Amino acid sequence: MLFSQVIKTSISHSFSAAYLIDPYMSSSYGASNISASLRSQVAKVIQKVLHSQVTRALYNVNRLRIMKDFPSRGITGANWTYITGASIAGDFAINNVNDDFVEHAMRTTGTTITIQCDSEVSQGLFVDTFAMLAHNLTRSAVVTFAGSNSSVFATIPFSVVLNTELENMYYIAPILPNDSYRYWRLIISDTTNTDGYIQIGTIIFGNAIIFSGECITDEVEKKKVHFKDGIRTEAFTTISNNRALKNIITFNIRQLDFSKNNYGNLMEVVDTVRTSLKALWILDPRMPSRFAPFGKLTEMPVEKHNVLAVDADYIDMTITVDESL
Amino acid sequence: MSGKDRRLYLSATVLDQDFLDWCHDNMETQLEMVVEIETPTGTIYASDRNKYVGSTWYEALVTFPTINRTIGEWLAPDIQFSSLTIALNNPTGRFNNFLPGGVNYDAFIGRSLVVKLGLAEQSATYFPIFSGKITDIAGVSRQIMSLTFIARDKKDDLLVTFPNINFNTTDYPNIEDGVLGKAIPVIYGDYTVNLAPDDAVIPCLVVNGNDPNVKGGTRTNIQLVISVNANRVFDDTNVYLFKSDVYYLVTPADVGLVSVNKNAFQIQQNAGTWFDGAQYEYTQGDRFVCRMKGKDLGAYSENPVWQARDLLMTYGGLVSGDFDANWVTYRDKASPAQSAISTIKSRIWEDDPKPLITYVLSILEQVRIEAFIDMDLQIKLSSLHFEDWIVSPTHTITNFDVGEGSLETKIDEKNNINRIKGVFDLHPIRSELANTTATFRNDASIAQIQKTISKQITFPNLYIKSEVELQVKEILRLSSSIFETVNVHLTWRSVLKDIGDFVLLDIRIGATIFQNVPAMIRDFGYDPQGMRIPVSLWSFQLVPFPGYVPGYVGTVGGYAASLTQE
Repeated sequence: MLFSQVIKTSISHSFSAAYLIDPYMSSSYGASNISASLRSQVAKVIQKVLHSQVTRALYNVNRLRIMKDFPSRGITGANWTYITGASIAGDFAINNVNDDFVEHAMRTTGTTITIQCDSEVSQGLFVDTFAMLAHNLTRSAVVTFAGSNSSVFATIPFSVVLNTELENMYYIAPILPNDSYRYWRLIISDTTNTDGYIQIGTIIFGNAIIFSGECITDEVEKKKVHFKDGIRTEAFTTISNNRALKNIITFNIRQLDFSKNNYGNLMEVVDTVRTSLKALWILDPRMPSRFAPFGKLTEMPVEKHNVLAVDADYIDMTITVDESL
Repeated sequence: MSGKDRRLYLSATVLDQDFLDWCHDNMETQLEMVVEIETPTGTIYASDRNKYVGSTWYEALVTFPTINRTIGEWLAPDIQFSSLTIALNNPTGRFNNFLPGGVNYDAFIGRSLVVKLGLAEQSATYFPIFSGKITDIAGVSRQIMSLTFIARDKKDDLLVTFPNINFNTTDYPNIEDGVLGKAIPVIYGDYTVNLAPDDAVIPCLVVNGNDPNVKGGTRTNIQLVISVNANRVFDDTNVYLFKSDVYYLVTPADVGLVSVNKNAFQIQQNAGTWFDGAQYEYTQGDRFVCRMKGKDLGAYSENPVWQARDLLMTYGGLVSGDFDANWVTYRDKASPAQSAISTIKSRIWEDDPKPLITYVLSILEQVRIEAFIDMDLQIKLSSLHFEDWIVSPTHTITNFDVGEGSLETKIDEKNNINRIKGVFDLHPIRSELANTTATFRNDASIAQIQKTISKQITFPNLYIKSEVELQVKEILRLSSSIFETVNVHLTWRSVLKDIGDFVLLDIRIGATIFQNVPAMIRDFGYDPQGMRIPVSLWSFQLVPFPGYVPGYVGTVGGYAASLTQE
């Protein structure tokens, strides 16, 4: 008789040695203590007597991640509904959160709402990255993000209270999501909001393209661009008419290995978004609100290939993402 | 410790001069423009940025051009349209259905286009700065990445011609060829007085001259039509046959069957012996004239302002709400004598279709009034009466308001005249102005510029000599003052000003100095680049008017200018 015992472990992380050596990524951006370590997540099933099966998936929360597709918009693009609350009259429909104009917003009649997204995908979405952009929530707002395969949330297998930040807020799954859900809810309570309403420009979530091992270099150039019209007057002053304030972020990638997946993934992103589609570029998921432009490439990046051998092609490139394009 | 918000535009809900002044003192505001384009399938809400105004979403689809409004040229009542050309981004062909070949192409012409300006997202602050209709003349065109609309303001609607009803064979089966197709005249005012040298001046058109029993046979009654409109008075005792420059008074007994509207009547043939002692028989080409009073406007039937207004309502389709309240003000203006429109008499007879707005502007100009479309999109009057001008305008323009390098001054050469004669009183029967005023000149102006610039000014609708001479003298006082036009780009602090408003110039730019000089805004625009306000001003630096004495050497014109009658 074959006796076997199966032990299903919880997700764990292991660290392997960094493959990058000085001077590249000797210290990973903002986290020198873990260096350029390769974080991996292991789901392990052990058959104690006869066999051992290991499923290894690469996942990390400290490498560049990019969302170029937004499965949260469903198939129809009209997949958000109010469970509680309602939009005010005018052009503030709830599905405005589904377009790339962050200024084009949903606005509610009150400050306590529950809104639901039907991903319209029967097998559901694995969500490792979430962003709520151009919102008016205060720091005291409580935002719960929940997932379920029940349209009425009869059971709520996934629920997390988000870290509330002003203007833009994000959620980065700490571990690779093992379960997918078709329905997602945001339960928001912001009773002290003096606006008297909740406004959200854009909501996107799903699974991002995540760099593994390799990453951007430490230097990130961030610039706010003030759009204004000015009139130089005969009194030696300039009188201005304000327009907008937008971010431009430039970062570098050095010695990206042509033969590894990161390069291919990045090229997939670049080829998809080109200079005309917006994408969410989270440079460091540990502090997403610091450098997470939702914008377009200012130009197609120039790849500088340092071809040392057939299997040793390392690429440098500089990427600039502009929110105003 | 914080004081008043330096970025008040972030929280303000009212766009007024106090707000603009505060923002200007802090050198920044946030004024924005939006456009609403009516289409056969709804309204396109667009702007030069993605934004809300109130609860309406405006998509970034356009780049705004400079929008100009003008009052036109003084002493040249030719209509000057304010038009707008605006391109709508169409890279994806989203609006192709509005283009040639599209299902909604034809339906696009004549749709409204409104540009508004206001403060950020505060809908209550937005006001229209242009409102017009897409013209039928190249109103829609396409480019590779966009489509372009050309719209004209409300004045375009008033370009209709009047009179607009013609004599036809349906209503008048026996009409003569010489009358068929002519417009039926429109008549306002009193044509029973001031007719010299004629006995009567209003043509009465024979409408059954081709009837065999009129021009021969049984000699039945001649049917005559005076006007398309109903009239107040028809004087059946003063109907004349005007033949070979001789007036034959038709005996009243032969004049009859006057219509209820007093705009048609009949003359009996072979009755009275009023035609050189013989009974009259009609001969083709015979012309009749009469004395009568035109359309009834109540107590204002002879009032030029009210006549102009009624024309705009009758033929331009305007309603009372389209007129600014100052139409009533000027209608009732009773002093001084030269500007007492309430007593100045005007009359209108017109049988040659003319552009309505041109005709109306001409009437108004004869009493020194101009019309323009104001920022409330109403038709408003602007006065060239000295006594109406503002001595101390509260809105001062300083160097801080003037765009660098934009100030340009020039003498208004077109309107500098120092010797004027007026001709007036159009007699329809002669199709000519029947009377002339004395000639007046400003000797000081002639001496100053060492040149006599003469002009004859026509007053076809005024018919009382003393009233016309008063207008001639006032026009001469203004036009001989050699005033300057100032073209300048102002900052957005002046965005709430309008045509006809007065500002006080207090500018020192190099050698150009205006020290507390009143000026009138003649043209007004909105340039979205920096929200500049391009304006054209009349500087009154050398034009004294009641309460304002420039105190400059060389002042020769203005309110108190001494004129000589030749």
